[in-house]
Amino acid sequence: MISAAAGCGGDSGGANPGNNGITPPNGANVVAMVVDLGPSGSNGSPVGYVNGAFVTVTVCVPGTSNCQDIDHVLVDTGSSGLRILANDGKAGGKLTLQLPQQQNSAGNAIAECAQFLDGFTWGPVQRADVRLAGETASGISVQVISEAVYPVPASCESAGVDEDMLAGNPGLLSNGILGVGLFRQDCGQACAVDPGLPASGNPGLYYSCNRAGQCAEAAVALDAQVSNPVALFPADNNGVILELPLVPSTGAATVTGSLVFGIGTRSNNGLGNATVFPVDGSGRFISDFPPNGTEYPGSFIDSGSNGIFFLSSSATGIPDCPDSSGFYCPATSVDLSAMNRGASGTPSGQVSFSIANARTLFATNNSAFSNLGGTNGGTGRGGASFDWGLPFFFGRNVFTAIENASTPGGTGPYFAH
Amino acid sequence: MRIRIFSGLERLCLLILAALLLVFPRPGLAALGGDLSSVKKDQARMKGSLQVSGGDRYSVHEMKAATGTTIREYATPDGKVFGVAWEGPWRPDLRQLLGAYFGDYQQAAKRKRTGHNGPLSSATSRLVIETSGHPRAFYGRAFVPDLVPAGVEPAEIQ
Repeated sequence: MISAAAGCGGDSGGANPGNNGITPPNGANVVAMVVDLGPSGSNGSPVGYVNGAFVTVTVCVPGTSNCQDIDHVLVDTGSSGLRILANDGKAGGKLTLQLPQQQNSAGNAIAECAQFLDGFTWGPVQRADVRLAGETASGISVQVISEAVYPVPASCESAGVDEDMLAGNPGLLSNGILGVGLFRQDCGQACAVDPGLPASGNPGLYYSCNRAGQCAEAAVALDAQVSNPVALFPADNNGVILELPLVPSTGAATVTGSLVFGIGTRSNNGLGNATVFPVDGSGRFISDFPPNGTEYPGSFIDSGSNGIFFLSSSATGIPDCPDSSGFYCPATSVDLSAMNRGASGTPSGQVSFSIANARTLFATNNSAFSNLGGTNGGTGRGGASFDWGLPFFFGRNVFTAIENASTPGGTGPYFAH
Repeated sequence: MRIRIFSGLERLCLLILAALLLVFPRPGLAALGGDLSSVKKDQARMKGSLQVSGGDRYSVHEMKAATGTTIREYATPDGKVFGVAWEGPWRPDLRQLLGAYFGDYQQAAKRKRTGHNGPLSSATSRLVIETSGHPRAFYGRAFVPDLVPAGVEPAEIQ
């Protein structure tokens, strides 16, 4: 795992020493990030999250000091926008603060069915001041995950599995999701087009709801869509850095790191010697596995994935876990490497990583593992992919630059490490 | 064949039934496990273009939805859809695409979810399904093992 950091240049050693516990950055653009077993469930014990990076987010009624701290919000570079689990008698989240409802131009309430890897979150879009460290995104759209006011429409149910509760099956296992990904809004221009038009490409994420609680797919303007809070900070708004230290091969009970706002905007957030990997319009770059081997052009870096997910047992020769959980369970740890490349083919940088036996790791009851991996059946013609989840982040600073944002490393979107 | 004359009441009922079918098109005319007539309905719903290709072992019906998502439906020579695949910024309507197998998918996703935040790979005797990606780039495929023609490799469904 030492080689994992060395393979990617790990620490910049320059303007941004943040990692390995040497000099945690501090400043108004830095919020503490923790990897632990997650928020407390109804029985008072942590829900048992593995490889979740969490921050505390403060949400306020816009323009007021009427605020609430929400702990254990998952930091997710794979999505954009803040979603908070409600405390509504069912969802089991923390949010009790009453936020104003976001409305469309006709004065109807907006709700959203946001798509994730294998499910969706449903609930109203509301407005909040979102505070992280010394940064505030004022009056932005956030999603409140709740079915208390608007029941899930049938068309939303078709999106898969409803991630509507803290625990249970499936459980969100966090009090919210802080999407600090590559995009400014979770949907973008496609959702601003009238879904009723004959050739509308509106994917139907947003809904307009009437007073009877009935919701129908609707267009929502960009500035009313659920938005990446970082992009709407007054400063330090071109991206983020996730900084997490190395962890031992048997994992760690708790890991403390930093979520840093801005890239090259201050002395504590420079790119150092990180390599910039531009992504395509969908947030993808290329991973070659092994290096100079097969090309996987749909690859992405996603702190919200809790393992490094790639290929299949038949392709890698690494045994699946006997419980068919989707994780790998090699008899002994396997050392591997891949080559990451920008979406257009350059630049390139080698990544070394290890995959250990997931069952052995889980039995430690630790929460942070740099060597947890699993299968990824994403086999679309252009989409076979490496999903570089949280294990990838331990021991290296990972930069996520927002679309159309200017940085010293070029204009986003890109990942850098 | 015995010829039946409908009574007035029966005719009225049939008319009402026909009208209801016009107003409420049958949901779940999904492709997987269905016949090729469902492909046309998928195309209409997705406001997409349709391309057909393939050889004597199976045909591929590729639809590009207006959302930018591409869907491929794989059908046997006698018109039975045995596999589907999708890729694009947003997932297609999986209830429609998976039809009778949507429940299998939901069960698989629920089984997977606890402690696993990553792509879904599930194989049962009824359905093999794999999904991956992230918002703005989703991928997936599903097939019914019992319906895949002899000599067709599952890897061809993508």
